[in-house]
Parts: sequence; C-alpha cells; structure tokens
Amino acid sequence: MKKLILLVKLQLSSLFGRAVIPKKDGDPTRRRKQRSNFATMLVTGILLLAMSFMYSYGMAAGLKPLNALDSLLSVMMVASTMLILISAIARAKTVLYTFGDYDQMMSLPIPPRVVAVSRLISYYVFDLLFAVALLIPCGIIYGIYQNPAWTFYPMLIVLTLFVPLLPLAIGGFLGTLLAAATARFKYKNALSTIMQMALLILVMVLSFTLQGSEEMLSSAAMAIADRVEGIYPLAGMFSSALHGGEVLQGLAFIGISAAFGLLFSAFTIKFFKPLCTRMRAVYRNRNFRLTRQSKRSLLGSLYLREWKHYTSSTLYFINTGFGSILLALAILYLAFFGRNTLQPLADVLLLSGYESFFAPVIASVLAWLLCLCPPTAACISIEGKNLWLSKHLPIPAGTWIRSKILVSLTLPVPISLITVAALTLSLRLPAAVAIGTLAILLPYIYFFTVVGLWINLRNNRFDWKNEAEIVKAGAPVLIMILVTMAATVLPAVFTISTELPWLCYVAAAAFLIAAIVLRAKIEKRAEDIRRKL
Amino acid sequence: MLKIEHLTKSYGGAAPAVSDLSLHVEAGDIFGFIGHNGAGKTTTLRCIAGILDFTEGEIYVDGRSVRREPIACKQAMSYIPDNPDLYEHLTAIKYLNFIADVYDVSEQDRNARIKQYGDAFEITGNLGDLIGSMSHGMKQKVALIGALLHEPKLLLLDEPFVGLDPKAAHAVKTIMQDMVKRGSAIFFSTHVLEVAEKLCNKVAIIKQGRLIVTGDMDTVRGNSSLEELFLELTDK
Repeated sequence: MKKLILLVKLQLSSLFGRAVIPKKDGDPTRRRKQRSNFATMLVTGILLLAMSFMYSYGMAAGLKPLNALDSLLSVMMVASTMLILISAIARAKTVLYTFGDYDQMMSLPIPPRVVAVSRLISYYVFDLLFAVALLIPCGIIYGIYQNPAWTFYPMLIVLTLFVPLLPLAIGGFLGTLLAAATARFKYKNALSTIMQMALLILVMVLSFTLQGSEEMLSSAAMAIADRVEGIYPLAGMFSSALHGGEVLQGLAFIGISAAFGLLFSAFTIKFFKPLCTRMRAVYRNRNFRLTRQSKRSLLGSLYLREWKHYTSSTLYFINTGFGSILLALAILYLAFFGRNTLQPLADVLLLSGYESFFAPVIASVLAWLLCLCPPTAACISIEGKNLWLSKHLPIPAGTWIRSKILVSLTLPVPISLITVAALTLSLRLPAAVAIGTLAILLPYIYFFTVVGLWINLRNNRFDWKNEAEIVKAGAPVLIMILVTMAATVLPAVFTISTELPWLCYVAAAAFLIAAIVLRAKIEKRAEDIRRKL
Repeated sequence: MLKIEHLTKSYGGAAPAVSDLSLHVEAGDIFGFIGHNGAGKTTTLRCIAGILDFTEGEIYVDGRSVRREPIACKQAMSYIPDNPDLYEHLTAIKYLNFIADVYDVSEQDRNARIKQYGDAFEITGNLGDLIGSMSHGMKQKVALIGALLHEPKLLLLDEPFVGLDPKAAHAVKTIMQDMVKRGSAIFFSTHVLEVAEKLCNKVAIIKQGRLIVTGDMDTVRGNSSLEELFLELTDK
C-alpha cells in the first residue's frame, strides 16, 4: 500500500504539479514561474467551474417552467459520461501503457500489479475532474431550485465518484484494443489516430441517431430525459437516487459502476506487462537502403518536422485537430445529404430579412468548432526534452515560431474554405454570405493561433512524462478553451441582441489587428523568449 | 576558436554552478574538460552551445559573441549532450536530413557524409528506423553523424564515449583526429581519463564551478598520470 501511495503521489504531482502551492525554493525565477503557473491553473479551474455553473443554471432556468428540473441531473450525467468516454478512448494508451518512466517503474522492487493500479488511479482521477466539474455545479443549481432533503448533497458527492467508472471501463477497453491492434504496424501512430477518430465519430453518430436528432430538438424536456435514461439506464438510477431519494437505485448505480470499474481494472492488471510490451513494440525496417537525399528550405524542413510531430502524436492530434476534421465531415454530410433539413431553415432565414446575420452566426460557430483548442496552445511545451535542439541549432527563433503557426493553420484554413464552399453551394446561399463568413472566420482562426502560441510561450513546461499532461491537462490548453469560447460567443451574442450584424465584422477586424501586432511583438523578442525557455 | 572569458552561471539564489571560468581553445586542439559529477562541466558546455543563458562573462566562437551573434556561432559549431534526446517521431535518416537542411548542407555533401559516417558507425542499414526505437548507443551514433554533417569548426561533446561500443568509440577518436587535422577544434568532457590522456593535447580541470588548472596536457600532467593529478587536485 505504501508503494502504491508513493507511485500515485508521483504521478499526480506530474499531472498536476503546476497546480500545487509553490514550495519555498532558493531560485526566485523558478518561484515566480511556479506562482504564475499555480495562479493560472487556479484561475482556469475557477473559470471552468463558473462556466459549468452558468450552463447548468441556463438549463435549469429553461426546465423549471416545464416542471422538468429532475431531467437536469440525468442529462448532465450523460454529458459527463460522454466526455469521459471520449477522453478515456484517447488517453488509454499513453496514460496506462506507454508512459515515459515505464522502464524505471518496472525495474524498481514494485510488483507490476501495483504499477498498473497506480496508472489506473491516475486514469480515473483525471476524468473524475470532468465529472466533478459538471455534476457538482449542476447538483448545487438543482439544490437551489428544488431545495431537496439534506441527504441530496452527500449522495451527490458519493454518486459523482462513481460516475466515471463505467465510461472509463468501456473507453479504456476500446482504447486498449485499438492501441494493441495497431502496435505492430509501420504507421501505427497514423493508423491509431485514424481508427480512434473513426471510433469517436461512430460513438457520436450512434448517440445522435439513437436520440433522434429532430425529435430531440423539439421534444419536451421529459421526453429528453426519458430518451437519455432509456439509452443509458444508469442516468435514470443516478437521477432517481438523487431527486427521488431512492437508495436502492443509488446502490444499483454504485454496484454496476463499480463492477465495470473492477472488471476493467482486473483486465488491465492481468495483462499489464504484455500490453505494455506490445504497445512499446516498434516497427523496424529490415529492408532500408540509403538513397539520394534531397534538400529543403529551412522553413520547409521545420514545417515538415513540426507537422510530423503533430500527426505522430495521436493524443495531440485528436485533441486539437479532431474538431476540424469532424466539422468538415459533418458539414459535407449535411450539405449534400442533410439538405432537406437545412434548406427550409436557410430559406426561411433568407426570406425573413435576417440574411445579414447568416455570416456572423455561421462564422462564429465554425470558428469555435475549428479552434476550440489550437495546436499552438501546446506547441512549445510539446518540445519537451527536445527543446535543447531548438535552442542549440542555428534556427532563427522567428523561423521556429513561424513553422509552428503554419502547422496550426494547416487544418482549419482549408477546412474553413471547404465547409463554407459546401454550405454555399448546397444551400444556394448568396456569394456575399460566403465572403462575409470567411471575412470573419479567417481572422478568428489566425487570432486564436497566435494567442495560443503567446500563452504557451508565457506558460509552459518541458518535464512531462506523457503528452496528456500538457495536451489535455495543460494550463495553456484550458485557457485557450475559455478564450475561444468567449471570443466566438460574445461577439455573436452582441450581434444578435443588438441586431447589428456589422459588430462581428468589427470584432474580426480587431482580432486580426491584435493578432498581427501580437505576432510582431513575439517575433521581435523571439530570440530572447527562446533563450529564457 | 573558442574563448570563454569570466563565465559565471548561477541558478537563482544558489551558489554559482560555474564561477569566473576563462579558457581558450584554438583550432587544432582536442581539449579535455574533466571534473567531478556536478562540477559544472555540462553547464559550461550548454552555455557555449547557446542552450543556457549565463549570468556574467562572455563566450566567443570563431571570434563571434554567443550572446550577440547566436545564429552565426551555432552555425560554426555542433553540440552533443551526454544523453541526446533526439526527435523520437522521426526516422534517423529524416532527422539527419532535417539537421542538414538547418545547416544548409548541399545535397552532394549530405549524401556523401551520411554514407561515410553511417558506414563508419555501422548503422547505415538502421537509418530507416524510428529514433524512438533505437538504443542509447544507436541514438548517440545518429547524434554524432548529425553533428558532423556540416563539418563544424567547433565540436562540443558531453561524455561522448558513454554507450558506444568499442568499434564506434574507436571510430569517434579517428574522426576527432581527422577533424583537428583539418583545422577544427574539439572541446569535450569525459570521466574516462585514459582516453583524455591519449587523445587530448590540452586539458582543463574544474571543481565546484571553478577552473583549478588548464593548459597543455604534458605541462599540466608533468610526471604523474592524469588520474593521479585529478585525484590530488580535486581532493584538496
């Protein structure tokens, strides 16, 4: 038990190391950086919780008049389950099996099963945060509205602890299968990325189809809850245990969740070493022949290296690029196969005189989906132990930074052109709408790319052991999620509420100017900034 | 080729890792830099390589200041750390091409040198493997090839023989000797004093961040062995 506690402390401090109160340290620069990182994580955490409160409050305000407040609990529970499922599939390989200090851990006098359990605990704790962030605010809002019995809150806390277990078990199992199946292939990372994306799309499509998208949009809140609880019975048990005080339902929820959790844990512990060995296997090219090598420009070479790094990391790519690809697929599908649904809506809006709001609204939604987490938010930290190469090689810091910006723009820019073109052609929108959409969208994309870079230059860490620590749990990534949400939603909301469509264009112009000025500042001080990293 | 003047590097409020260090490496030198663990060798090398900023002093590579003309200085030198963390997601050949592009090595030269050094280290057939799949010694060899592609004027090595098989170690020594004959300089740290004694024409011993002796190997060593001298000086 002592060894398990030691390992868990080590892993959690690596994952959340920057979120602890800074220790006294002789180095004032490092103390300042620790304080800054701690403050960043604290503020980001508070803002995320605040957003969750607002979201739950908004939902509750809508459900209360319909006497359907009880469905808030099951809907939020399912939302957190979906998030955890998706996260679990993406993180299974790196968190459970291919973590950086595997050799060291396994060479210590610690049984492999203890190492496995410690990894499972880390795996669980990260996703528990999702559950806590969504369900506790939701529960508090529910409590304010419904004034339940005193047992509601302790039961909410206890049940929340069990919410991640089932999706973790299923997501972990699927992620493990995927990683194990692709381990021996030459292009295993690319294959793993494609298969994970396909799996995630399947999960989303299935849940969307089963719920019946059109009905869900127009059905009463009770029908939503019925649907959700029908598909995921644990949501019903969760909700009944909380609002109905049904202890048996609560115990059933805990029992089923714990059973799945234990099953997956037993599987992982039993096959831990063989799975780690298999997933750490590397393809060796037995037939390599040295051929003529060709020269590239410095920027071209840097871009290719950066792009290769980006696409070879399944977690990094899925966390930042998946949204773009999913959006492209969704828009292309809707544009050509869902036209019957969208066309009437488009026609109504065009004929009602709200044509000028099309571009701002479409652009805001697309910008949010494309740039929810730009790759630049982790592009400096992802250098990790390789940072010495970027600092030692004769690469001008400005060129180094330019390559990172180019990689970050590689997906969203073409995808934004494709999606706008697809929507315009299939819905027969006026050309002015297409041009207006792009006039807002492209500056937004550039702005988020540059801001993500700026934040990561100011707030970074290079001592990570697995990429999840910076790609999923990194402060810059969390900050950018908030920034993109605020920067896309607020101008759109103001535009609609004031009925001044040009507001979004002004915002886009302001973002573009800000991005140009910020980038110029970064490039001017690039050598200094890089020297201090 | 390398001039260090009063180099001081402190990490925050702690005692300086390197204190008032001055030394001079000329073209044609193989300069051994030896000291205890934690004496300041790696810190010194990283300051020269442009990886670490330093508190006081100045460093000149081929007459240029590392602070004021960092790119020009880096163009003239190569550095290999003791544990080279290379880009694990690249194959060795892609990494070498990347390095060659950064140093603006022509196609003809890179093709010839990759073949030459790949054969010398007997890893030509492994250049298609991912760096992440390689052993420490193989990564070391890839790092060495990368460092030699542009024929640097100054080669900085931190414990270059750790992890190398005997044949590769011999190849490294031969390459080092060829380089200095062509007018380059080599500045390397090592714990293997016998190698330093045989290979180096100059030596510097560092203790707790301070240089305690520097000069020609024969003059510094006198009638004793380098090991005896080292133990005598560092135990004082």
